[in-house]
Amino acid sequence: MSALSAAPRTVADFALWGGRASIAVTEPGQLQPAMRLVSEELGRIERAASTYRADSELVRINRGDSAAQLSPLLAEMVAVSLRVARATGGLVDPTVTHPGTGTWRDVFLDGPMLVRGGGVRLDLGATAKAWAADRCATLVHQALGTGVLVGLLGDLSAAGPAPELGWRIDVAEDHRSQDDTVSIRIGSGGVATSSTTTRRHRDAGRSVVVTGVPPCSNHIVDPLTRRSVTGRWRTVSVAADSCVGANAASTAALVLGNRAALWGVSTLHTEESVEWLLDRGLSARLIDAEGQITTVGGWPR
Amino acid sequence: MDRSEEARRRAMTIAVLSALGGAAATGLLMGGLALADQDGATTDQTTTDPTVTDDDLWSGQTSPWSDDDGADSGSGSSVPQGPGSGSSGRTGGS
Repeated sequence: MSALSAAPRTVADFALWGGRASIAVTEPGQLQPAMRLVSEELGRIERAASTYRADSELVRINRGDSAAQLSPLLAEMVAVSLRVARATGGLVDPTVTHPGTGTWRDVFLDGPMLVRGGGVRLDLGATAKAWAADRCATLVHQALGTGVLVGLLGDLSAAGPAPELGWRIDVAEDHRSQDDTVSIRIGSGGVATSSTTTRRHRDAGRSVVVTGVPPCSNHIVDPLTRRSVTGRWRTVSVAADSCVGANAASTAALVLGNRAALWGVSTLHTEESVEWLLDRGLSARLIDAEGQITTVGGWPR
Repeated sequence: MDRSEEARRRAMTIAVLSALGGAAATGLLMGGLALADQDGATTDQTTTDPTVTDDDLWSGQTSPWSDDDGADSGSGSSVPQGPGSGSSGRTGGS
């Protein structure tokens, strides 16, 4: 056995929720404990908020009375989804994945108390994965002291000290793909990518992902139309100081591009996504429907 | 209306709605939300952390950098694959 192969592993990759997840640590020997912590935490999150499990707390809440008391974990996840909805002006909305007329403004949360108006049901899919990445990264760093990068189906979050060279992240349109990637490095915060080139649907209660090219029916929904987004941009990657922030921004930028196409406005207005990202001081990489790349803020050119 | 006053009023509303439950709560809720929005205040629907504002979601600056400095060793390197040398993660649509 060579010295190289005997070195403790610091990066692990595994299957999760129909995609790929990864954990990287700075401290050799902390990878396995980190994986155990993340696995346990993801189990708790899934039992609280999955819409693919009939026994999850969220499914029970959606089926129950309009007023309900949530567990602390689910209450925090709902609060995050509403905060994202508010910060994006409703471009990212936890109520839009279900047919209906309600919006996030029909959801009322105070501590653990939730009241839903107008038959609104919640789906935290737009924020839960990114929030879980942030939560797991923080948990691992606090429990083990190691620097860590947690990646959940393309949503990445770093916590604690970074490696000397920073965390290297491969950026692609599909997180499962090995093709057409560029690499960036971050020292902290999160990176997320939203794309219309992948689509997710349910089959016998399970999440099934199909990769294709636009205009496919993807899982990014415009709250205005309640249909999959198309339009100016097909993939947006964002770096922010949290994965939740990065994910909210990448999704919002796609939705804004959809609005521009929807309204048939001029080229000036189709850059609204770029302006929106710049206004928030974000670094981003956008790929349009023809494959042309635009970088925003501090994203490497 | 300041945020603390609005939060206090929401808490009272929630307590009443929780006691009522069901469809009656929904009707009252709609009225309550309409009142809350009349003064143009930011719709703040959670008091989990009242000190957090919307802008805090992107308050920090995070600028990635590239490997153009040649620091990336990749495969074939004699340096052990630590988290700073190889890929640590992958972002992309899901």
